[in-house]
Amino acid sequence: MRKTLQRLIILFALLALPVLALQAQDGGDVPIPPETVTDDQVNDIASQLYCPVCENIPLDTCGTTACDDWRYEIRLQLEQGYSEDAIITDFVNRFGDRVVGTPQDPVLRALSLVTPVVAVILGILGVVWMFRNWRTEDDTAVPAQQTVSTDDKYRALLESDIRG
Amino acid sequence: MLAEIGFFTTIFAGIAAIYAIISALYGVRMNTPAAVVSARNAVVVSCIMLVLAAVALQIAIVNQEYQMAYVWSVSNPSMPTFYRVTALWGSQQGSLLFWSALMSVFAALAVTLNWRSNRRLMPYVIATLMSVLIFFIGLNLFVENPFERWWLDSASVNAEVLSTVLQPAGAVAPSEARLAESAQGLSPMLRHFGMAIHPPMLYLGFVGFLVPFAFAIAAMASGDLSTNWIKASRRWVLVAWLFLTLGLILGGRWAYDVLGWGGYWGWDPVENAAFLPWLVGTALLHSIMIQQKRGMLKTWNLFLVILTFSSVIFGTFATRSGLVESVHSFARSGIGTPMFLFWFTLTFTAVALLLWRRSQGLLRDERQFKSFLSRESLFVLNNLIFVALFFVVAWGSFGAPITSELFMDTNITLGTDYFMRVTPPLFLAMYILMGVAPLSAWGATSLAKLGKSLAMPLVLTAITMTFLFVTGTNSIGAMIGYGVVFLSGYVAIVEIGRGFLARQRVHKESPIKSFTALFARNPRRYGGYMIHLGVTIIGIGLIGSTMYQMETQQTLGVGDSLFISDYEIRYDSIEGAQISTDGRIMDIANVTVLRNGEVIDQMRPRRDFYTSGETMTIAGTHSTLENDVYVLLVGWEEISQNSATFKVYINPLVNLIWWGSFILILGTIIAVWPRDVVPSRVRDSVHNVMPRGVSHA
Repeated sequence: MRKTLQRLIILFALLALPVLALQAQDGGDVPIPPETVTDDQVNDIASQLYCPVCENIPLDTCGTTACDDWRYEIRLQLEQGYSEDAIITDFVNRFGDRVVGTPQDPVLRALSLVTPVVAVILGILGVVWMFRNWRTEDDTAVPAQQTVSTDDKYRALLESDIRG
Repeated sequence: MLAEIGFFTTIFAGIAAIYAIISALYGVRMNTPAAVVSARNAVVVSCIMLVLAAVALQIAIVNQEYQMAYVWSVSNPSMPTFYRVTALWGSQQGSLLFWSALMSVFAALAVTLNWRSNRRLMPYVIATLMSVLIFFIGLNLFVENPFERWWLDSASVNAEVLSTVLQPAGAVAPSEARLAESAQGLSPMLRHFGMAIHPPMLYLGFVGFLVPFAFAIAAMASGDLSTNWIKASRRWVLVAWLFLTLGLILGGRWAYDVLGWGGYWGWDPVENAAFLPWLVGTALLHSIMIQQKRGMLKTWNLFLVILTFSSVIFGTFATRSGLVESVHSFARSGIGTPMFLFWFTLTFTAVALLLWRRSQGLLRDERQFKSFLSRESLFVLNNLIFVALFFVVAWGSFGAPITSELFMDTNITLGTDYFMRVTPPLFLAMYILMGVAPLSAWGATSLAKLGKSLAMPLVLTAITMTFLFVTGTNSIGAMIGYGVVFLSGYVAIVEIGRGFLARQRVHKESPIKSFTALFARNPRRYGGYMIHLGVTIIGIGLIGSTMYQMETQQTLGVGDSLFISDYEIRYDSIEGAQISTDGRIMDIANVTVLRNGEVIDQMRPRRDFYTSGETMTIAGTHSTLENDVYVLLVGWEEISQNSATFKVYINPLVNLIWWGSFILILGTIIAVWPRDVVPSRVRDSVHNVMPRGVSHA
């Protein structure tokens, strides 16, 4: 019985090791001790946000004092154990969808991302229609020579000039 | 005195432009050639007047005439002469005058150079060119006048400051010394060599597209919808495209050097505003070939010309009205409403004219489409890709933010995240077509023939991809991207090689002569291949610098190092509070770059603090073809004598973007180079037998 218990503990420890290792790698909900939050971690999140006061400037590169403070806020939130998603959501809740590169609101997100796809599909359909239309327009096509009235004289002169 | 000269020459330019329109339309209406000749002369006069006005403003800036409000706002006594010259386009009023002057030069050149060959279109071309010019002159005179001067109203109790061109009654000029002391100076962001060339190139590209637009309007107005307007416009389209390309590239280089974020393209709305006409202009460059060769896509070409110039005006409106905010906001002002109305009127009129001519059946294709596998159908697909790119960029930059604000009462920003999702598939498709389309024939081509032409480029691509895989390129996205880009590049190389070998076989001449003769005999074709080669090299640089960029930010003590990739960046010392000759204060870090323990470069990244309160972060860069080591002295951390914070980027292959751009520009110059295929005496005799206007009435 004792031997079985020892074996079970060892087996559990062996199984737990990779799980703990993965947990450590993930780091999603595990608070990061203050001393381990690096500038790169702060910038990684800041680069996904836009400065709430200077439009269209990413937060990681904005040089205003306000952005200094927001980056410091990100650092504090990381130290308090907030995940990346939670920090971004917090910024969106406070400053609106303009602080992220693609809106989080489902309607705005769909509007932003689906519209260009629909437009491109419509464009492709338009080209297909045009190709088909071209093929059926055989009878209505205008012969090339009828439309270039001045070119004939031009060509004749050019040819006579070349002949000398 | 200079203010009066500039102001009155601008007025005279406006009067000459109005006269040109009236005279040109009268001439065509009443069949009076002398009136059209007079209109042409008025175009030249208008150009001379506007150039004089721009020169007057330039002299005023260089001579430091601070009583002129514009000079006071863009220069100060500590600025070097070089930046006084570039200050001409450093803010709204000056850049609008500069824009008008360039536009008038293009108008005068277009009218004089095409005078003989396109007499019938000329009256309408003149009327269109001058109508657009008058609008810009109007902005210069009534909204953003660069010749206004400061005056002190001595009659008012508090000596109110007035800004007018002519001296108001009872007003006196402020003290010269006081004005010089308070002069603001050019925005620090614009104090860069790139800004000396970037805006003029961009403006030349923008105004260059006015010429094909004018020819298109003239064709529709006159009813001469043959290929005449295309023949007259093609070179202008290429010239405008060349300048716009140069402007975009220099803008990217400026951003890379000055904005201090390690990149060259931020998908900023104002950058995109300049990119939009480039996209449709590129589509136009390809589709006009179809009309020239096959008499097809007449409506589409007219639509593209309209869209290109319309997007130029819209981009100008967006940049200068404050519609969108960005790093370019130095040029903002209150011209939004007139600019928007002008854009709307111009686009509406042009589209209405197009629909009217189409309804008359004058825009029917001369040939029918025969095969999906033909050059014209592949060019149509190419156009689809460029127009789709135009749409997704326009939607992300303006469409979605404006729609959400107008109808959903929410501000949104579509940033790099959005553009990097939607544009890569379209760019990949563009590269595929760039590789395949030149190998297909007009009319129809067989799959076997196309496959045979593609065999060699495909083999070369496979070898390259194997090499990349073996040497460690492991990202699927990068491999797909490189594969497509290399394929299109190898097609260009193989085609140039085929032509070269054919000449060698036939003419038995020296390799250098074969090579130069190949380009001289068919500059359009081989210039085009060079452009494709340049775009390929740019593509390789874009993939490398986007997908494999590395960055880190660390605070270092003196003597400490940070490590990134196989580089070591050592912080040696800081030279704080250095005062420059132009008054700015600089903090300069001394940094050593090591690789494998060996010193490879010494850098001096710095932060500049201007008296206006603005700060610039100037990177230290170690550049090789392999990559750039880009080091920033970061501003948002405390800098002390003991420690400093650095942000370091490794940008792989980024220099290929600049080298590829160089090849692209060289290819465009070859393609656009004038080639006198028709002797001038033949041209003159043709002119004499050409019938007078087709539908003057």
